[in-house]
Amino acid sequence: MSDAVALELFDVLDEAAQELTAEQQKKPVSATSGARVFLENFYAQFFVNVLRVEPAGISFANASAAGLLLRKNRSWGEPRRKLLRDFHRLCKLEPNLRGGDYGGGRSVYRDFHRTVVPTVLRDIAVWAESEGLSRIAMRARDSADNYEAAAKGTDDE
Amino acid sequence: MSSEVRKGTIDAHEEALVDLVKLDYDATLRTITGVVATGAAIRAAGFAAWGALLGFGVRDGAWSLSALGAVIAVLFAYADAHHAELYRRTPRRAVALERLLDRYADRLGIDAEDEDAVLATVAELEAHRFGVYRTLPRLRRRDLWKARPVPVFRVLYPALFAMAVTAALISAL
Repeated sequence: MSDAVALELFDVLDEAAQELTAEQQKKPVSATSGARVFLENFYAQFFVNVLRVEPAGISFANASAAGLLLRKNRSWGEPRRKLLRDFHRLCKLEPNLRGGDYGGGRSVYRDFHRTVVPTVLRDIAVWAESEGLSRIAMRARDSADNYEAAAKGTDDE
Repeated sequence: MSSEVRKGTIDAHEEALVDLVKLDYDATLRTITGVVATGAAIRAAGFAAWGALLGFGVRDGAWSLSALGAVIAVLFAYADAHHAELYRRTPRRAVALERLLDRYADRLGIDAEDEDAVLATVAELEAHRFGVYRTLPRLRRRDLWKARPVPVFRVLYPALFAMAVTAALISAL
């Protein structure tokens, strides 16, 4: 599974981490933001190359599809299932992140950058280790640390 | 049949999920009732205030009272439109919840032995986003132009405003 996920994808996220400001974390997370682009593309590749199913975008409409995959594939290992649960959570969170409803807000946007993204990255690292994909695991761990540090480092701004 | 699905059995997890949906549905219905009542009260208060101001303005030839009537028409139109838009959004959520509960009704009935249908329904229950307020689409100023009913917002309120302005101008001249 050497080409499960393109390593270049992590460059997108690392660039986004360098440009992350306190102001950005107070605003809705747009679909073109580095973090969203990374997550969309990671999961698209994960669905196609690893799970061998049709790719699904991060939107509320796909939350139940993720739940269904989990229930129909009980034999999948826990790291893979964890990533799918992360996807399910992202799908349910997406309307809030867009700022389209009253469930959004600064605390939600900030939590996305400081907690949600690093958590998903660490889950990616655990999954990659379990599949013997050490380069992906290393990049995911480094990106998690970078992104979390960048998000929390804006406290002084 | 897999351990996931057994004919006629519903586990506690599924029951708890459905209880949450029912709770959400109750809250949604109460919100609709509240919004309708508040909207009606605003409209009644607006018409009464406008009528009183215009009445006194015309009777006493006081242009300022008629002008204030015009301002009141605008303010109450805004507040009324806000509530009308809120009302337009909440039934959509009620319908979505009814659809989900209807799916669950099928899960209990005709789909009870269909493993795929049962799993799909449970997945939908798990994907349910709880909360009428946090899931309410944000109201933006431009949405107020979509307020219904159209005759009230595109005819009646503008007419109230026009009458008040006309009365103010006549009184002033």
